Amino acid sequence: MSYTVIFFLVLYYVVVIGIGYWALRRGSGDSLEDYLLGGRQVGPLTTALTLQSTSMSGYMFLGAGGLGYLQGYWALWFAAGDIGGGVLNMSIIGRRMRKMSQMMGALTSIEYLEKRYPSPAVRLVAGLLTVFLLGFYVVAQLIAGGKGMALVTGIPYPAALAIAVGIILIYTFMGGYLAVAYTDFFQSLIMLVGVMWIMIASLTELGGLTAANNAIGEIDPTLLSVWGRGLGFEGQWGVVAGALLIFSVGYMGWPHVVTRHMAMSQPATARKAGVWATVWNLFFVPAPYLVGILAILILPNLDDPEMAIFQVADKLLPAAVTGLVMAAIMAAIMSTADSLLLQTGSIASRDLYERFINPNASEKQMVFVSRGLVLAIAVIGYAVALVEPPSVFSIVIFATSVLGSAFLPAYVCAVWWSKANTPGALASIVVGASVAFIWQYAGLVDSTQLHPMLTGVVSSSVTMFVVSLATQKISPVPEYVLDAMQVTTTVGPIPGRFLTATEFGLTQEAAAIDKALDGDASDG
Amino acid sequence: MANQSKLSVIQQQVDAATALHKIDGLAGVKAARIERKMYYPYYRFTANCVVPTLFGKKAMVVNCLVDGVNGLGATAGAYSSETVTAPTDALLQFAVSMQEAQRTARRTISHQLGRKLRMIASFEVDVEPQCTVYKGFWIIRTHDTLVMVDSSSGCIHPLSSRAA
Amino acid sequence: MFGLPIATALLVFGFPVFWILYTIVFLIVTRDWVKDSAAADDAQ
Repeated sequence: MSYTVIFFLVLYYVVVIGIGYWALRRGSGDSLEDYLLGGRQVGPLTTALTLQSTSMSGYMFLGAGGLGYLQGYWALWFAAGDIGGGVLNMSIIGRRMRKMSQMMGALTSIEYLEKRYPSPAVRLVAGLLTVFLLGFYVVAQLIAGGKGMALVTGIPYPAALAIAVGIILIYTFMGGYLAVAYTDFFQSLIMLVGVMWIMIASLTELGGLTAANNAIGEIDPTLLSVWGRGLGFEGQWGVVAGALLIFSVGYMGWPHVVTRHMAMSQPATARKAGVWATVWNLFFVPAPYLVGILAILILPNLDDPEMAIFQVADKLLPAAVTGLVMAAIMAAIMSTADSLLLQTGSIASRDLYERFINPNASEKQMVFVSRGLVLAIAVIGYAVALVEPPSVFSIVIFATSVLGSAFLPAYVCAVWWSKANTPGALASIVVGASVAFIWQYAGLVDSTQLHPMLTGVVSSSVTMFVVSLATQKISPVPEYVLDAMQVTTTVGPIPGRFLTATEFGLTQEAAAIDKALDGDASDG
Repeated sequence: MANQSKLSVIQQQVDAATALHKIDGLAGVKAARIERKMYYPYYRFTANCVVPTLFGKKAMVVNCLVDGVNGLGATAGAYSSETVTAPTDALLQFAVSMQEAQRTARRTISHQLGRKLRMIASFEVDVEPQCTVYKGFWIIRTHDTLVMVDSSSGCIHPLSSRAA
Repeated sequence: MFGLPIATALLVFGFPVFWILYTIVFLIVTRDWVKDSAAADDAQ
């Protein structure tokens, strides 16, 4: 057991709690109320750091590192798409979705889908699917947190897992004191420094990147190729396409990512956030994969490749630094788990319970449902993580493939295609999820050399177009949606010079005033 | 002569001249003139909230505006209001009842608290209705289109109205 | 380059260059997006 690491881990949390306490107790609580109201935003850098750091999760530290260790530079196909995922998301969906969701008055990304594609079935299917798949993603974070904690502290895995789950539940049930912008920023900064430190330490240990690559080439030259160990993926462009798509367009199917667009305050924020996302991703997306690759040399006989990054940190960094960095990484993992559980709880209580079971549910009842589901996921997740933990990589890729395949056309067409209707959306969600799921579990990847993400997205997209066009007459897109799209996409008689002057916050007032003026004009 | 109404309006920060100047400043705009001023209705609520934290309960007051036409809620920062007299036909009508608006306010505030604080917890949210408030929008006509300017924030939005 | 085969070097450096260019184009195309106003609107 490493008491130095444990000490710094605990110290880190004491400092974070202290920051949260200070922020809460400060003056009359103006800062907290400002933060809540969003009337005075934290700056774009803080926003971007917070946004990006919540994507630094168990996948990055375990999944990515593990893949790099196993397959060498093949792993960077996943990074290649991921680097642009943020700016792609912002540029394609960001601004328009913000307007549309405001026009629709949706609180969750699932409610938004029902408002855009009016049908209880859309909400039910989307809600159930999302809760199920986000649950998977949470389990991945639990495994990451438990394994990481066990490795760096020396605490046995079952106990470490229990501690990780416990901290995640504290975050989720009582997170108010932690989740102010200050602590997120502090965590992001530590993690930023930590990840860079690990990478620099690794490169220094190996005498630089060229020397390291030469040494890897001597062990197995195929690790340097783009086709993986033993050229296992040679020529499999269908799998490569899937790897590229997963973290580039796949994000547009993630409810907790898409929700951020709904919360965006101004177009300029989207613009800056897109730029910061690219800057951040350029450094931090390739880093875990690269450390995993370098670990082939530093730790040649790892039992669990997914522990590559943690093991490298443990070996190369001073114990105190390991403690701090591990604490930041653990915090990132738990923060991601917290975000996912909040989404899942919110969808379960608002989109499923309130919508279908108890429309007059009080806030207390909805909190009860949310917490109940979160506890259920924690218990089931603990059992799975303890008994037969799958690799973080496989869980995240599976969940992202199915979610991305299911929801990508629905979210993109919601703001870009006025003919996308309810039957089209429902069919595309069902087909996309089914194809991706079946492709994975029927083992079709090997025989067809096509990634589930690729087949899933293609199937759902084709379905959206075919079914929407075929059912336009029997299920036309409602007028209020077309009006909203008219206003939000500003097509029509509005001169181009005004397109860029459009303010988010006025979209619904503009629609109502438009209508009132039209009414006056026709009254004469 | 049009009927006049007395109403509480969010304090104007952008007067007619400033609004015109904003539009005039856009490239390619010709002959901008104020056509009229419209008033947009909101329900106003204050909520006394109690948020549970690790260190005890934290009380705070949150303002919420609910759009009187489409029922959308939003938490709001502090603002001041003034009483003005305006033609009745310049006011948009409330389409949402006070009861619905109050429910929306409670829902919006609870959701916002949970989202921002990132926690699943019961917040005690005691919503009190205040009087309704309007916001003024300058409707400005240029040589080829209609634009509205928010009189409290100065934000611009084009209108696609076919009103000629 | 850095001891990597050409294809790998293209993968490692080519995609980041692509995304940098994409982001620059995004910045140019959206350069007129309205700046945050000092008096933020009431809506979230």
